Amino acid sequence: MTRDRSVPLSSSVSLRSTSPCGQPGNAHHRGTEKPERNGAAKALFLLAALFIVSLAPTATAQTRSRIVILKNRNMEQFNLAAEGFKRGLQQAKIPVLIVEYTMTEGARELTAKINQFKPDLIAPLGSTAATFAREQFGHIPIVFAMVLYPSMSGIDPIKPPPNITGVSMDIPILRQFQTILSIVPRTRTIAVLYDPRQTGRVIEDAREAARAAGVELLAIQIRSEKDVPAAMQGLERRADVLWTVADSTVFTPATTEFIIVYAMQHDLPMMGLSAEFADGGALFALGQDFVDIGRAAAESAVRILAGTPPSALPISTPRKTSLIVNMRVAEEIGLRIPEDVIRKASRIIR
Amino acid sequence: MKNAVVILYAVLIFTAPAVLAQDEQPGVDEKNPPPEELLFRNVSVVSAAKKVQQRSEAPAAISVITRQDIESSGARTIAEAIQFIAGVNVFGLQGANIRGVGSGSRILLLVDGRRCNDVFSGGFEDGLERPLTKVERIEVIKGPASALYGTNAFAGIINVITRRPLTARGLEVHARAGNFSTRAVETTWGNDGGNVDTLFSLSGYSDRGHDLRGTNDDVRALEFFGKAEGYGFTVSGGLRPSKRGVPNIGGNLTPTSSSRRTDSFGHVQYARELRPEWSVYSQLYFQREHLDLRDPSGDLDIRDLRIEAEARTHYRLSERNEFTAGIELRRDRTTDDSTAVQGRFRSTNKSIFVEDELRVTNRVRLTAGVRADDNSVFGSSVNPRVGVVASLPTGTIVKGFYGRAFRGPDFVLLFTDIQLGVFRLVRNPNLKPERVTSMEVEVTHPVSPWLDASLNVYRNSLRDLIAVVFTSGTNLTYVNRGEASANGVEVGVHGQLGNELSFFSNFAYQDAEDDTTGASIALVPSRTVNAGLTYRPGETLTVGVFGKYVGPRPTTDLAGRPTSLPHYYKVDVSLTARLRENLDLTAAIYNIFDAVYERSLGSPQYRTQALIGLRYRAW
Repeated sequence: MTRDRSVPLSSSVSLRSTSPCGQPGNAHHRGTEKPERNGAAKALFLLAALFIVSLAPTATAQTRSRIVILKNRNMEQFNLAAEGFKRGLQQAKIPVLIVEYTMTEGARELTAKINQFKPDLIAPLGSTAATFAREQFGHIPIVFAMVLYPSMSGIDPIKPPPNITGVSMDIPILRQFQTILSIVPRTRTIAVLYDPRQTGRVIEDAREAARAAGVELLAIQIRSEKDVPAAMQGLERRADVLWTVADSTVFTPATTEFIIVYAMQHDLPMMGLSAEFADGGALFALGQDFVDIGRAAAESAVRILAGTPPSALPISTPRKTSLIVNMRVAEEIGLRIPEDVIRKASRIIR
Repeated sequence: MKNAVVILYAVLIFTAPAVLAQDEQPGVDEKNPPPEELLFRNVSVVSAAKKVQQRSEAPAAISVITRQDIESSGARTIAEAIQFIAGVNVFGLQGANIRGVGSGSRILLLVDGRRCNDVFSGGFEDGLERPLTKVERIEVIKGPASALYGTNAFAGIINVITRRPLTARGLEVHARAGNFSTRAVETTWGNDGGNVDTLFSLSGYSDRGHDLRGTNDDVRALEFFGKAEGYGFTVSGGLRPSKRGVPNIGGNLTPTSSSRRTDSFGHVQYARELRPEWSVYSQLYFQREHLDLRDPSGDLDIRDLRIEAEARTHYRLSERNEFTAGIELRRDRTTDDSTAVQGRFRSTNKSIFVEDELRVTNRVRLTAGVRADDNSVFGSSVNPRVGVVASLPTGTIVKGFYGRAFRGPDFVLLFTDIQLGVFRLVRNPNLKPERVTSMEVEVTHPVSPWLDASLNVYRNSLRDLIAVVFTSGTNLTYVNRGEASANGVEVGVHGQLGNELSFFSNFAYQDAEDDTTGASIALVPSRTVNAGLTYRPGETLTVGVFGKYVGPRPTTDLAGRPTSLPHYYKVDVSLTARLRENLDLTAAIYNIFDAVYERSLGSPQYRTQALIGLRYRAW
């Protein structure tokens, strides 16, 4: 209910003066009737105003934003991001109603549940969840998080669909190469194994980053995990560092160990995909802060719920990263880690 | 009716997948997981104890001395390099025991997987004096390991890994000189040959001896080592002639006593990854030793030959389960042309071993293995080992092991009579292997980003220990009689402050006791403390200070009365300073406070020794 103008309740202006049909001065003046009509009108007006005021709390209760958090699966990392997301909403003091689902349910059932819930916003955590949300809910704002290589989920990081924004897990490749150079300053050639069907686009971006960093990128294509041993053979002679991309053809459970062991045995510095890789024997890795990724996604969600269209919010990258260095591997391969790198590292494995 | 039931079952079987299938599953494809989930995958370099493995998750208590540790400590030999490991007791430059058990043939010495224990005596006392120029890393595995390595892996294993051509590229020459007319030159040349890489090492050492028990304790040794890697093969060979007086052999010293020893070996290894989940490894080597000892108490002229072949396979059955299996065949032969005893002795040892490693959860893995050995001389032995490794979310790693090991009696005990002054040690061809059962728990914890702490508690029960007993008059012989237990606790810290300062300290308490008599086992100190500090303020200077305290050690005098060797401490200091880009000055003072101590009664060890040298590197 709106009011055309703010009229003090004590005003003596009659209602008739606002009537579109009447003309000023056409009000019926009937001597003794005028004061009664004015009093009744005021009372009515007062009642209406009180009624509106009394409705206000009820109206507020009905405007809690409805949010669906949709995770790839129930994994610690996604749960941390979900926690950060919820905390971010809490901090913004946004009244919300949140439901959480994982992608282990059937598509039809999941779609029906979400539609029934009538969300104001969907927060998919993970590529599978993001792809599903993009395909099924083109009409609902989506803020994704914990997605690596959004383009693989059909989300162009430069020009995403108009209802989608989010926080990817991608650490800018140039930053990764600069980290490599800080740890292995003699680096001239960086090698990487990849399946063009999986991470071809990532490698295209990597070539540009390599040019910017002043190094050569030796990108070796493989088509199946069986190609990995042959691809690794002699790599230590052709490259100074092994960089890695999250390619499921390259990194199966069997090939992951093979690659790490090979790199260690042949004194080839290896940058792992994550802290887990550094723990497992890669020389170093950059890690993301999953809670903060969730929090950053919450900040975008708050703005969208306040009226900003998703298309106005560019897809962002992790705000916080950590460097993990495995000193045992460094000793094993005879590499001296520069002092300033040790000081900046978030975790040193000994 | 029966037909109906059959038909019903058939219908169910063929339609069950469709019936049970959900409508289109948008869930995660396990074969092609989303890219971010590859980052979350728990990665651990899992492998059996015989592969390169990450120390923290290896199913054993392993201490590693790296090339960097070797250079910063100024260690001259394998013995010096490992002397500061908790639970390892080394005396002078020779001999070692692990947790109170050792003295030669109770510790297995491996170099690149090749057994280096003498065929005749089972020991390796000369082996620990090998120079370190070609050594990349030394791993000390404490505790019984016969489940994978068979005999001699009784108290533990000293596993020496030599440098690879690619990491030793270029020329390195290290020349040193010091008191007691010490001269040492070590040369290494590594070449990246494209498909075949090569490494050659030539070392020479001489000193006039420390005149500890006589004047004929000079040493001269030369060592040549070569290695080629390519096409999956590693071929290596070496020759080491040496000449010394006899303090480390025993017997009466006279100015004319001397010993000459020549060691040689040839070794071929082949490793191949047939598939990412399946790898094979094989090795074939021969090893020859010739010891020629001249001493008035009796000459020894012993020629050993060992030939061994091994094949093993490693297979990943699933993401959580890995399996290793192998076979070994070894022929040992000793030809003894000594004046006292002449003969030829042979043994054949056939072995088979298996080990399975199961990752029960992402944080817990179980290892179980067993090895069966059949020896033509002393019979069969089966030795199991089980272990559990748990990685806690705090970064703490907890390990628990149970294992059995054996040590077969050596040829010298089985086939040879030895005259020791007026006493005569008579052979016993009926000796059985010694046995040990061990339980151990180890906890390591990252106290802070720059400090790790560890705690190790173990219990070893030893049976059928070979002891020397009097038989008649001045004759003695060997019998399986001893029972002993060796229990202990080891506590240690290891830290790194920035890139400048690294330090370690450890304390070991050992309680080794003869179960039959209740007496403490000879020469085992109840407490030792080690500490070291390496300061590296930049690329041009490294300073290391290392100290060792050894508590009193029980022993008996010549009359057999209990006594003890007093406690001692010794400190070594080393320095490396870069003079120019390719040239380093190295200096070390060993036993800087001139501690006087003995390996055993009447066996004094080296006093203060200083070495100064120049190391040149060119790529």
